[in-house]
Amino acid sequence: MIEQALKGHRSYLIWSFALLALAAGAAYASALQSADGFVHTGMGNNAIWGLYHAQLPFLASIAAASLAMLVPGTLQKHSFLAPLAPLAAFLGAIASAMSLLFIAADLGMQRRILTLFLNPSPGAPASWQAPLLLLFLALSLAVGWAQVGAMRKGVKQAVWIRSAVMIAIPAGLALPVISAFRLAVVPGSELWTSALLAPRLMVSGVAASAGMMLLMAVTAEKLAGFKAGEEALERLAAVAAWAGLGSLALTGLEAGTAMLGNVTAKTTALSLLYGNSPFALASWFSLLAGALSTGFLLMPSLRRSSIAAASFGALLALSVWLQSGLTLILAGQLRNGSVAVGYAPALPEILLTTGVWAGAVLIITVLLKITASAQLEREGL
Amino acid sequence: MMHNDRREFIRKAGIGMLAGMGAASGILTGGGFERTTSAAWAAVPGEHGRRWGMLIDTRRCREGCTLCIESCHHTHNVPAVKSPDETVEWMHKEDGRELLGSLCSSTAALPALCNHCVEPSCARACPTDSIFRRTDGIVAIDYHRCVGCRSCMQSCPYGEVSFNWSDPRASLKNPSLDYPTRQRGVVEKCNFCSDRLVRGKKPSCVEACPEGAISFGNLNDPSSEIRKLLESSETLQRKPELGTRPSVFYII
Repeated sequence: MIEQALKGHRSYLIWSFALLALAAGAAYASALQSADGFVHTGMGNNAIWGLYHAQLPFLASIAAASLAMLVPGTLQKHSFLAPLAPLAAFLGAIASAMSLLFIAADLGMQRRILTLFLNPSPGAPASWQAPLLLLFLALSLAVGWAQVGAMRKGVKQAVWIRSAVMIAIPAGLALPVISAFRLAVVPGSELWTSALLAPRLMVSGVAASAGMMLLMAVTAEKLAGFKAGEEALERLAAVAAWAGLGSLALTGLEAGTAMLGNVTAKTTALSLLYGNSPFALASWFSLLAGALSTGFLLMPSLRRSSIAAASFGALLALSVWLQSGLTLILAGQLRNGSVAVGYAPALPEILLTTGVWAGAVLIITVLLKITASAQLEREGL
Repeated sequence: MMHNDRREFIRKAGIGMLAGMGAASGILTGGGFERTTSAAWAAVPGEHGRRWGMLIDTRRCREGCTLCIESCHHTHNVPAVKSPDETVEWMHKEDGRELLGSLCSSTAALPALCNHCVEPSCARACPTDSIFRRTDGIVAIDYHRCVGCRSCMQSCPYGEVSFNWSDPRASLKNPSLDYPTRQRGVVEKCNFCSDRLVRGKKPSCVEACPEGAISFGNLNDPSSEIRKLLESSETLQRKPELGTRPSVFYII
């Protein structure tokens, strides 16, 4: 199967090399950081966590949400999502691998990374994060790979896949909960101690991952001949729309409770997010983009067009990334009363972050290519 | 039939996971508030064991004097980093209102340090148990186990944990030989002079204060000097509403 990754159109190769170059930039930035520490980042006493940690809640929610597509596709006999199951498994694997990379990038003592696995402290939610991510990575990668293999050979999926998915369910669902609990241990931070944080991450993760899968499937269909099926795509768009609506509702509930109760701490936290804050623009953009894309995806006529569905899916994913990724962490760590010193990521930090994302996109591209060739090979027989 | 089984499975998996997470993450920790008036201290049910605590009499704290901080930072090789965004501090002076809230009538700069909380949120945030509460109440850091994720720093509501953004040894002019230096990439904070306590000495800030404004002792011992001071004076703690139960008290 793997040989299919190296063959392809010229545009496929150019795209892959461009992504590879960005990933190499990440390797350079990472080397720079290993040598000199965080002096090359925008982090400091006023921004304890930066771009790296800001990716974690979003990626955890994407990993968990991949289950929403993977479980029906593997455990149910007849599911419209079955053709997308391997894609969902790969998405979950890549999200957890990226999380692990960002956790590693964010460590001041990178050579002690094994301590995270060898000396956990079970009472701390944070200590469950890395081991569970590793478990989920292994399970989802194995499931996805075995499914593509079965598809290529035209045989039924192996029996062990069902067991692997069943173990992956609690592990995957725990990921956004742990991400939220990692923030919940910060007393006095109203944005982070909300009980709605974990459900918000889960629901918005389903919306974002459905949106991203729409983009991936439609692109692979147009360029590589990947076949997801019209019905699968339309159902996926509906999943994105309803999850997007759920996510907006939870955001509204949180704001409504804060403002009706006039809870000073909570309204202050909201104003750090939407009001007097360097991140207000991103927060408002995220809210409006989420509302817009959800609204359009809710219209059946629009979501039947695969191009429109893919574009609005991508916009929805971007909105969720801004909300549960960037602004949640960066605005959440601003302390009330203190001067909201804006955090600006430095160039090596940006290089590392975009490089990890580029590496992920590269792997997705290659996996989609392999899956599409497996499908084509099957049809050719 | 198939459908019901699946639903049942998902339900059971969910309940099991929630129960496991709840038990493991220590959501159900003990009660929070601690009254600090004299009457309340007398009513505290006796806790067993030792709980080191500190009482700072701010009436005796001189304006502009930083002898306690200098002594502390020298004793523990705390680097004097110049960049304001990268400072490392075990002890510092801060505006009284900022420190203790509106109950504090003074806006003079008061000494502040790690509160050695009974319910330390930093310890609940640490993924590797590198920051932990000892049986004598001191919240300590294992510099050799710390991975540098800064979760403790983020979760300390008092901002008393510092991270070594740059190499601390480069900022040490006259290192003390009695305490190790740290490396870049780990966190550090006040250790209540646990290194001096084992040698039978008092904390260095207590010794350094020319006015004797800082008292130190076992909060769980009703006959200790600090306990008598607590019972005879009105004292304040930093952010008691957060339920962290700080062991550092202030007389205003």
